[in-house]
Amino acid sequence: MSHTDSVHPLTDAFWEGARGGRLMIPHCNECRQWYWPVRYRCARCGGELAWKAATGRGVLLSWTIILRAPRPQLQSLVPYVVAFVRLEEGVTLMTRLKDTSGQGLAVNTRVECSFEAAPGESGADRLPVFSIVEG
Amino acid sequence: MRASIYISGVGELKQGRSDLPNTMSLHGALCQRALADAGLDWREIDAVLTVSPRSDPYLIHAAALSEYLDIQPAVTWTIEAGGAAPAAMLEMSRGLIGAGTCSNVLIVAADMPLGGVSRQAYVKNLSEAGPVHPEYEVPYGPSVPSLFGLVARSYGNRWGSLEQGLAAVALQNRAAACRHENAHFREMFDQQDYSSSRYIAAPLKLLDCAPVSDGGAALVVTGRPGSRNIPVTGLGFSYNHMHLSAASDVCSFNAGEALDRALMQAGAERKDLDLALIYDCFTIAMLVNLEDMGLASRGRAGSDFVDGRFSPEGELPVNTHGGLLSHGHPARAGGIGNIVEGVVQLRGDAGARQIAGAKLALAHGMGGVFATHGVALLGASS
Repeated sequence: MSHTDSVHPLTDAFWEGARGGRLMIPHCNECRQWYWPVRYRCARCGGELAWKAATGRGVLLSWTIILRAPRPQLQSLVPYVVAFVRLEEGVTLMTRLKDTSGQGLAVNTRVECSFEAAPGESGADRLPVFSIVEG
Repeated sequence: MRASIYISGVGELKQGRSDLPNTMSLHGALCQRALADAGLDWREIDAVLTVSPRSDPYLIHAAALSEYLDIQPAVTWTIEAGGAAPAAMLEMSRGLIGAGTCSNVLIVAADMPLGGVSRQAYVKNLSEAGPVHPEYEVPYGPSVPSLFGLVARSYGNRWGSLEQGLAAVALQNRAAACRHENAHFREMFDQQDYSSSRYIAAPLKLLDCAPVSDGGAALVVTGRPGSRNIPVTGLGFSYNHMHLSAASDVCSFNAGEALDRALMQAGAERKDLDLALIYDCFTIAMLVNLEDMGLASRGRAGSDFVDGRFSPEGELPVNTHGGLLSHGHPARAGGIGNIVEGVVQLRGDAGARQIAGAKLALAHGMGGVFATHGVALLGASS
């Protein structure tokens, strides 16, 4: 089963946004708090959450290097870098860092989001990934 | 008022690759040992509590086990609480015994990941069945070690030194396992072996990771005191997150809240602990959990290990059985080994690993990646 099979209608906005090159994150319309992963409601004010495009900019929080993929479909990417990035919106995302072997990275380095075909999946979905902002 | 409960029997076999034909027979052998240790007949068991082994398909596994054992308990429940499940099953026992529903509870946490399922199926299942978001994180291909690698990287970035402390944890656990006949790995290694072991999820290396072991244990819990019965004097639990991405910090969590709650019940303080058995699926988990529990200062657990503070001769001996790292990690059954070692130590039965005069032991279990915690306090402060 590819991950696309399990997409709930209410979460389509994330993948729909990714197809259009936008990073969609749940956001409280009342108090403007951002959340990740998805929550039922805003824990701060009780308001409703709606998907909203984030800037796609953030900093590198932590990273590790995968040498043996947990699924055969991902083995062609090895070695790949799984990372946590902290978005400007204040939420932490798990992601993959592109164009790096994982050597010489530093915490708090600026990163930005781009989108690529989800590896080994149907190809219909695009996946948010991040790269180091040069300069 | 809380009921007094006691662990009256423990059953453990050699961890590692089992010669037994399947997971159910492993459960049977562990139960038989625990019952013999408690001096109890099968027919006296009126509750069976289990965790669902990864290598068996049953949803109500405790009922399948009771049928296999051919016993008729009133209660057959299977719980899902990750590595905190053994402590949670003690809490269930306290409820069952305290309410008068049951008298003798048989607790089993065992699994057979080596003999029971293929390695590839195991790794895929483990990495996708819980600690990562099925929709938004699984596509990035994180492995379970990589999640602890992310914690270790963050810890190293914050506190500076990392490798020396991790190595000291790995070495101390292996030295302890060498003194335990049931341990999975009993061959000593040195600093050089540690440093040259291959990366699994940088900065974590092979010797930072617990093995996958066939094993686990069974416990008998009763409401009656006895000369070999070890009282469970405090139980405490905490929840922090499910997905590591939802945690407010990537290298400090809240195991300390579980310990606070358990200590309050036991009427004890941290300084009263004679022995701490910490959930250490990876070396970094040992450091972070000790700090989160307030048993080491922030950023200092590694240097405390290097200095021998947690050695068998140190101020607070830790994981005298070798922990998940070297005693063995029986897949879904992780955490019960800590309770068994606590009982063995408090009975004075630990032989070459015995901590002289140990009266109060902490047995910790962790669910997910620092997601939930269960702390059992065994014995009483003197």
